[in-house]
Amino acid sequence: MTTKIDPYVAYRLQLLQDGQTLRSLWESVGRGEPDVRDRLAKFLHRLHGTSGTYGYEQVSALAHDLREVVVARPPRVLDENLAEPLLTALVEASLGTVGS
Amino acid sequence: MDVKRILYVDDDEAMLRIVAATLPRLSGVEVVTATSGAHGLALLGQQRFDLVLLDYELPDFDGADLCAEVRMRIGASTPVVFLSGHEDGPERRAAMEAGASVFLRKPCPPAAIAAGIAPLLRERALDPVQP
Repeated sequence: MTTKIDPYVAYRLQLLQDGQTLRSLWESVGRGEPDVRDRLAKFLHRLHGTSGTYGYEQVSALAHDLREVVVARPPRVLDENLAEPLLTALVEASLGTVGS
Repeated sequence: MDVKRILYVDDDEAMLRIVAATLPRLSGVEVVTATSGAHGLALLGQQRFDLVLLDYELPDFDGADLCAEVRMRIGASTPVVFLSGHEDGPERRAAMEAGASVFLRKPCPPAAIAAGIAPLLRERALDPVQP
């Protein structure tokens, strides 16, 4: 017998993990690690599409805007606050206080 | 009436979960999922589908290349729909040239996906030569 997991419940947990992934990638880019900028851009691209599909419009919009910044110029450690609005939105979405 | 069957190929498991959970209710279809282009092509060789839904950016396939491979296996009468985060640019043009029927943009709420595929499934139901 298989147990069906509600996709919306599973995605809220995913959003929490996405926050940790974002923080880790952001710090790696800040340290100048090679190829991470491309991974970060792809991560944000996916987050934009999937979170919006689940109805998390604020997360989706912030991921889109942050990707635009990442593609335009690699963030430095001092730019950490650029990611903060999305990190906060991911926590709020995962707690169920906003979004879908 | 036959239940229409959709093959959805995407490496994003969250997308696979929401589409597989919602489209049966919204569109009355059965959804079969694959997490790679190779897996999707293998399923096309084993089962019949009424519509193929593809992500554009898969680890093992470029979307346009995968669409061309899908078309070689299913012919011209089965709709191929892209569900992609890419904006209206070269990826969309390449997909349409490779034989895609429709290019839907993520984010795409389940109701919008259902609305996007509905006319294609209706045409499919009316097609007297469908396999």
